Amino acid sequence: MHGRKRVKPSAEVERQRKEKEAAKIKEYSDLVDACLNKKDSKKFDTEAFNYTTKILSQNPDFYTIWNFRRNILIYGLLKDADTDQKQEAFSNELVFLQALFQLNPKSYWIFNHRRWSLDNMPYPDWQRELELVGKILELDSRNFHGWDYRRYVTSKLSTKMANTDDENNNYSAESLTESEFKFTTTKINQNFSNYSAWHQRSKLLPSLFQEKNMTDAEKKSVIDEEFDLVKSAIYTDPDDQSAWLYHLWLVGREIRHISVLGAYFDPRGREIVLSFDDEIGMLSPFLVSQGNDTTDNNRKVQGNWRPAGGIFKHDQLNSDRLYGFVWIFTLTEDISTSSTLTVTIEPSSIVPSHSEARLMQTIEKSVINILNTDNIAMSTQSKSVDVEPSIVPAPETLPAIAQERADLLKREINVIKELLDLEPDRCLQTLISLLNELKYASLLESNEANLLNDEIVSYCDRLIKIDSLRIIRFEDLRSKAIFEKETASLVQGSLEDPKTIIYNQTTLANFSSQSSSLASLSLSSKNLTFIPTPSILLLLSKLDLSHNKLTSMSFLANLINLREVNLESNLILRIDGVRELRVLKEMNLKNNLISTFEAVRDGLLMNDSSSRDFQEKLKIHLTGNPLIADNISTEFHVFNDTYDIILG
Amino acid sequence: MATHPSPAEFTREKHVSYLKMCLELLPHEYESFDTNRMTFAYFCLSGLDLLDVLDSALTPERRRGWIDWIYAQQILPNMDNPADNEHLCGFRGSPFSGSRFDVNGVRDAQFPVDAANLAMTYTALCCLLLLKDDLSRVDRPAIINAMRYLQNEDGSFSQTYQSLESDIRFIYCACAISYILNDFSGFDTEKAVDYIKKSQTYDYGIAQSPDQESHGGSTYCAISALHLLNRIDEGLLSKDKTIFWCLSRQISGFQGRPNKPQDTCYSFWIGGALKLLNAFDLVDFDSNRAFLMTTQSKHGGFAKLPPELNKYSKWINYPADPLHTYMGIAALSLMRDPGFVDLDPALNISKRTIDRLINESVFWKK
Repeated sequence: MHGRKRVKPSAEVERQRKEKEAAKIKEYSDLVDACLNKKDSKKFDTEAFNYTTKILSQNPDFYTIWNFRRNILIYGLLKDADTDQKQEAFSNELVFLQALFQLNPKSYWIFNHRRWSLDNMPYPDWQRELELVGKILELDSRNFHGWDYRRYVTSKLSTKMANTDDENNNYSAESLTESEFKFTTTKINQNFSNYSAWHQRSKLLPSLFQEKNMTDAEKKSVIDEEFDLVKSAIYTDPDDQSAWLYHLWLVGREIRHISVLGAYFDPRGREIVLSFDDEIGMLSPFLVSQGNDTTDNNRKVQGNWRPAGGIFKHDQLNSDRLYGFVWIFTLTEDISTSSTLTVTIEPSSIVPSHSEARLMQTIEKSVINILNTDNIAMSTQSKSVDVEPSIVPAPETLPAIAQERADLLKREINVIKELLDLEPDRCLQTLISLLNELKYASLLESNEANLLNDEIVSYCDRLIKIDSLRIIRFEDLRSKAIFEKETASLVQGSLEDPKTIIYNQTTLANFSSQSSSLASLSLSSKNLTFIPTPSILLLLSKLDLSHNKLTSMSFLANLINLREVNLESNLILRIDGVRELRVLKEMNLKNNLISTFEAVRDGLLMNDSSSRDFQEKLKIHLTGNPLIADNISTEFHVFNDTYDIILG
Repeated sequence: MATHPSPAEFTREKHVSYLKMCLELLPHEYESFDTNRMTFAYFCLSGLDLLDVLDSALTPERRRGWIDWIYAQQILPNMDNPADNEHLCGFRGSPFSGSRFDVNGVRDAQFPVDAANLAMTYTALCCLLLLKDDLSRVDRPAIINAMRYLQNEDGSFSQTYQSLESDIRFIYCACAISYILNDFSGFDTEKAVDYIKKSQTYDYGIAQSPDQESHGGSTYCAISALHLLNRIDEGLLSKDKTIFWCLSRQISGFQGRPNKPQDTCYSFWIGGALKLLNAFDLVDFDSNRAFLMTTQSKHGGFAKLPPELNKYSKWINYPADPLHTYMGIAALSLMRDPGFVDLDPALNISKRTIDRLINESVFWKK
């Protein structure tokens, strides 16, 4: 073999070795043959059983023989056995397994057969099993088979305790979970890095709550102790992952409510425009109905949904699904606009961009008619429908009262800030994520939210200085906080559900007025690297994003009401997102990074080289972009019908 | 920019020799894994394929011979009474049961000694594809039908009939098999997705089963299964956080769980998961590659750990093994190193083999 020194054995030694091997091979083959003969004649007898013992002793991975062995016991040897015989047989199984286990501490087959034996045994000694698995975990505290087996044993032990009425029994069901809890504490104190022990703890804590029927105050006290334990682990070694991950679990995370920001009807285009604060996919079309009463007798309206600026997500094998912030429904029938149009959105018809966000209730949004401005107030009825509970980590540790959650978050934020005093620049990202959680836990309009955004921005600035490899990530985090703060004036919490947001009255009024000067917003010089929630800007006519760090303008496709947009002095590489914008008449792209003709052409022309149907010619300023220096202005004549491209 | 290893660092020829050797002969320590022999065949064949030497390594006779050997592991329904053994159908790992050797497969398999195994069916199909077989002798209805017996109430799968263990690994196998055979009717996909959802932990990694710790191998199996079912968005609590969990497993190479040492194979399990989540470009390629270079054995092949740390290996004289060798090669292919064939992370075989599946195999070709 490769590189090994080969010493050729003498012929005689060689011959003897071959003979010995041949004998072993024959013995093994005979065993297997005999076994097969047994199964052919369906004889589940002692001889067959002994064959399986011999085979498995040599090869415990021969999995079908385990199956055979189990069948022999159940259908053969123990079919008419009495309790004592069964007890003895299964006890012997455990002895057999113990011998095999020494060589194979991570074998699935062995653990499973052990469980099966104990399950079938008349009098299993769970206490002894607990000691055994304790030893296993001494040998290797991360053996997950061991931990899983431990959970199984303790659940059996506690069931047995609960069922027994043996007065001599010194243990009660409660103390088992507690003693398990203490076991994990021991393991953790031995070694804070024992992630398996922390993980086990996270499984035990909810059981502890349930068993002892703890009140909210009692739960809080236990959880506070947990936070203390984690705190000491974190202070001892701030670099250790285990404690931080457990901390993450303890803090928990609230489900984000997806908001339907608003909906309006544009009679000129015969379109309903529906806006979400999340980039959602549509699983089934939202129902559009017309009628004046609130019963279910409203008439369904025919049409088609598409997302504005929708993008296909992922290379899916079977289907591509479109995602978008803003969804447009084009009517395929004529309707009178005197009665109310309503869009009904069921939670199950939406795929959020990440599963921790949810539409909490069925929304029935009355669509405002923008030419009929007498009634701006958009009404939303929310039918409370049982939303399937999503699996959010540790709902058990989330306090029932919102204020308590805010208090908990503030306390933990202070713990980390104290750590920062001792070891600057640690754990800033955790701090930022806790601040985000706190923001969500507080109500949107309060000043607290703005102060928190400012704090987040300052920590992001710190991170940018420390960690040059991840600047983009931190700049994006910062952009999110800044964007939220700067657009807070456009939205408000909804009355039915303060955690969801809708366009506020001022925004709606400005939109209805159709005036550029009113429906405008400046986000100039805000260090924005991207636009997190373009739909918030949907109702604007004029937007100033100059002097930022945007590399892409594809978000513009959502902003179908824009007449003027200023993107001067950004980092934009190509024109994008404008093809479907009908009322856009001026776009400032001076001083960006557009360097080729294709980067312009591909954004302006359709696939068949025709242009979009703008109401007026779109004026585009391109001065100060790299492609100007190359003197290719002659090529721009292809756009003359639809675009007014200003190069100088 | 990423630096590519010079020939002195990646010992390509030694790995090729190692894989070829394993195809011919395995050390005696592997006897106990004979029930899994098909997986070793897969590691070797796919490894050679990714190194682009598979064609030149096999003569036509060899190829045909091996295709026949694989088909001889196929358990088919009993002609007269299919109900007798329909739950056992599919491929087994090797002739370990001692049944008659027949290149057309056997129809008289008797439970419990002779039964197919999901992981072996998956690797058998991959091997057939790698050997350029068109799958015309695969009994699709039998395999799909047998799957129904292997899925449990909670949505997980056992690997073989009446096996006591069931977890996410075999959900992945079922999905991969269904994809290759172009037929997802063999199991309840809703329940499977449900099981995956429940196996996610609070740190957004995914465990073998609900209650267990998140783990690199099961995270790969879950994400790949969801990808094949086209349900990644619904199946993951938070794609971003799962990506973050995966990326946090990188030390220089990757570890399988927090606070565990790095191990060659997780460069594939975690790397593959990240690739399917479109976040693989966030991995530090240089460090990953540097670690992989240290786990190469001087005799060829990759070990789990750098040889001086590999005291956990029971194969003292052969620290490398086919699984870690394949995983090391697959991990380098994910990074698109030159000289490696492009890998499809979902099915874990080369993209060109998948192309062949779609264009030439009987279950896909139009």
